[in-house]
Order: sequence, then structure tokens, then C-alpha cells
Amino acid sequence: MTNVAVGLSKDLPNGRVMRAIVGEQDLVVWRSKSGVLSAWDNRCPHRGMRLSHGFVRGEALACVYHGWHYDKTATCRYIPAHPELEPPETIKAQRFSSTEKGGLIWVSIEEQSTEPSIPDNLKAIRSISFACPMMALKQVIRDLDFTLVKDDNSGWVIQEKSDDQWMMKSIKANISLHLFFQNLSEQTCKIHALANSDCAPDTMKKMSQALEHIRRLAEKHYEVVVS
Amino acid sequence: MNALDHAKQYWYPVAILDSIPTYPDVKNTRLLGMDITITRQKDGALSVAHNEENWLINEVYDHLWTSPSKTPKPIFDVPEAQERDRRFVPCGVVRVRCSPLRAVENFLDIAHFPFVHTDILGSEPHTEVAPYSVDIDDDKDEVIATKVKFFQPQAAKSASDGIITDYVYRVPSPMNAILYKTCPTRDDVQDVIAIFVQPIDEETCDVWPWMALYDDDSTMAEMIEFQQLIFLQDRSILENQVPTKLPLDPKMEIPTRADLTSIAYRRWLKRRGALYGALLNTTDNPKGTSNSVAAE
Ligand code: FES
Ligand SMILES: [Fe+2]
Repeated sequence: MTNVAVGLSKDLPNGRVMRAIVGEQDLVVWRSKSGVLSAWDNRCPHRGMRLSHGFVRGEALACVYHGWHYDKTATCRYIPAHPELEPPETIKAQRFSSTEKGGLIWVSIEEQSTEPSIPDNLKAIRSISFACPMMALKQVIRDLDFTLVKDDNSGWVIQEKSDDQWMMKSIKANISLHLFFQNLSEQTCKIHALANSDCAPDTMKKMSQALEHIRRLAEKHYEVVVS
Repeated sequence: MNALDHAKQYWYPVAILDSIPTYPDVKNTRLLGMDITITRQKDGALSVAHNEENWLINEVYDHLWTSPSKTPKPIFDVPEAQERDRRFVPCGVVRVRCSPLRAVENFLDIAHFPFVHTDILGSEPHTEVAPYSVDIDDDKDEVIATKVKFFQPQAAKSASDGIITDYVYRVPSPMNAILYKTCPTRDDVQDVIAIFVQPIDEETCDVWPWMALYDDDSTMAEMIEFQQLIFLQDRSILENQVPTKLPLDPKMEIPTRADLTSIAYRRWLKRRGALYGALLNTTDNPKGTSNSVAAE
């Protein structure tokens, strides 16, 4: 899992902050006012506050506890309690590599990372969270009755391209649905869903509803399994 | 002595005296990971029991205190509690999922006022923390911070304009802290605000704020509401600090001059072995950074 999709680019506008999980790593992912994307360890070096609760000030991320500012290199540049002080360069949050491709935000917590493999010509549908293990969710999708996406059940196939990237295709209807799985914990996961760029708006809407339907199925199914 | 045994030597608040249920109802709660039951007998006498065993109790500062020890250290003194012209306000309880020590440390911190208690206890651009002094009072074995000054837009319920507020902080025992601050309505006296912390376990606590004020105008409900608002704002911080326990290894977090009270508090805890709710080594927490900057 070198590069993991953690969200849709359009869901993180300039000046916004979000939290993400990759493996065991808690992350803050944020975009500066001018649009620079960063992903760091979700922990302020000062007193351990989660930086995902912070706020963007121009090109810096400010921690919500004491307002320390970190620039895009994750170096602390301003300590409000000591406005005249130039903070030592050693005060830094831990950085990870992040990039955007195909409408998704990707983070790698490993030293070496390869380019995410995703076609360029995709349209983002939505990110959706599931209160069930990823294994359970995948099984529900494999067993899916596809009439809920397209009334005529017209020849859908699932290609499991990798552990966290699936493609669902309807040849007849000319739809390809790309699913990127993100594991959050043993009990929770996410799907970031995209479609081929020439997909019609009403089909996009239908697929979004279908994901909602999958969520209900998967969570219900899991509830039954655990109880 | 291990951390739990050390913690067992102290008194802890477990209820507000006025709100303990009447016989035959009881109140169940937890202290240091142990279940306890608080009972008011038919004749009004209070008792605290753990596994059928009665613990010592103490009724002071409007709270019921107890200790698992048969010979606890004496409870700390708040002389202002004898001043009968003050209004004594037990503010209720706030459950926080954090180490009891993190709750105390946050209470000692002023630099967060403009960001966490925005437009109440602080506001930008008045963020500077002027130099102040911190000492360990050897006689009392307390941490004392003095000459602490900070600009506050609305320092108390009774304040209408911003003022430079003076503070003195005392930490008389590991899980209790008291602050003395400028009284907005009189210059000759100081308001007293304390937090008494009930350690439910190492990563959960019940915080009992208590005030002894000169405020004749606000109603009790208003004063409690004000203090509750402040503590709920603090809770949003306390439940999001990583790690949950208080790190005592100076390499794990980076203090500055504004954090002198916190530095002294952590050292004082470490020296006396008050480690319940603390993390001693970085190795306990693999996420600890190795950054280190001495307080300049
Ligand atoms: S914890 Fe982030 S600025 Fe203090
Ligand atoms: Fe606070």
C-alpha cells in the first residue's frame, strides 16, 4: 500500500483541513490558501494536539491549542505566546508525501512511493464511510444485484485490480465505476468512487444512490454477522 | 512504589455534597479504576465503600472526598474557603477522556486562552505571554506560579470590558490546582477558581471545578454556566491530545518560556513518583518525536 487514496480533491477546498488514516498512521491533510497540499503526522510537536483540529492562516496551518503556525515544510514559523521570537528550525511536524491524481488525494507513509495508478479521465462521484470491516463490505459488493445501478442488469463485471482498487463495468451501458478502498480501522472503512468522464449526470446520481444502498446492505449484513 | 500505590495516598473528590442522593438511593462512580458506592444513611451520614469495605471520607470545599488509603496524606489547604463573605460555587462535573494530569496541566496554561476561549478569556492579537515566575514551595511541596499576566476580554461573568488579569497558580497535589485571579469588581481581593480532579482511571477523569468569588450580581446558575462553557471548550482540546497520558520525557513535547508552569509541574510529578496518568519513557509511545528544544 504505497499510495493510499484518502479523499476526493474536490472535498478539500483551499484553506481547509481534514483528518485521514493510513494504516496505523493518524494524519492531518490540509490545503493552503493558494492550494498547496500537505499531509503530516496528526500531532502538534508542542503539546500533542491533533493538528486536524487546526485552521489555515494563509500558507500556514495553525494548531488550535496555542496557535503555533507551521509552514508547508511543516516547520514552525510563529509562536503567538512569543510574537517576537523566531522559532528554532528544529520544531517540525512529521511530513509524509502527498499528491493528487485523477481527482483523488493520495498519501504515502512509506519512504519510497510509486505513482498512483489511476486513469486521468475520471469524474468524482463521492466518498462514503462504512461502519463495517472492509472484508465484509467487499463481500457485499461481490454479491450485489446490479439492477440497483441500472434497471436492466446489463452485463456488469467486477475487476479486482488490486486490494484497494476495483473497477465495475457495464459494457452495454458504457459505465465504468472505479472504487478505491481505504481502511480506517477494524470496524470502519471508506470508498472513494469515480466514474468515466463521459458518464451522464443522472447515471452519476444513480451510482451515488447505489453506494448509499450498498452502505445500508453492508452495515446491516455486518450487524447480523456480529450479533 | 508503583504509580497506582502512589496515587492511593491522596484524597479525591467524588461528589458535590449538596447533590448526593437521599437514602435509600446511592451514587455509583469509579476512582483509580475501582468501583465505589456513595451512600447517605438514614441519619444523613455519608459513606463511601469499595467491595464492602468503607473508605475514609472528608467533607470539605463543598465536595465529598475519599481515599483508598487508611492513612492518606492530609488534604491541601485553601485558606479562602474560610472567608465567609465569598460565594462558594461547586460547578458540577465534566467527564473528560484524558489523563487526569493532562486536565491539570491544561488548567495551568494561559497561552491557549485566545484560541480555545476566544473572546472570553483571551483574544488575538493579545497572545503574548509575559515572563512570570515558577517555584516549588519546599515547605508545602507545591508548585507555585506567580506574576502571571494576561489580557482578557471578559475575565469573569462579572466583567464587562477587557482587563489585564493577574494570576497566581498553585498545585498542592498532583490532581488538584487552584488559581487566584484579579477580581473584576474589587482590587483588594482575588477570585479563587480550582479544579479538583477525580481520576476514573489513567485515561479518563471527572473534573469538578469550584469557585470562591466576590460576585454579588450574577446568579448561581449564570456563574455555573460560564464555568461549564469554559470547561467544555477545554474538553475539546483534552480529548484530542496525543498521547492521552501526560508525557514526562522532555524529548516528547516541546515547551517554550510560556510553558514554565507545565515544565515545573511535570518535573515535580516525576520527582515525587506521581506517575498515575503519566508516560515515563518515549518507548512507551512509539509516536513520540525526537525533536527537542530547550525552553529559551
Ligand atoms: S499544542 Fe499545538 S500549539 Fe500548543
Ligand atoms: Fe482552558
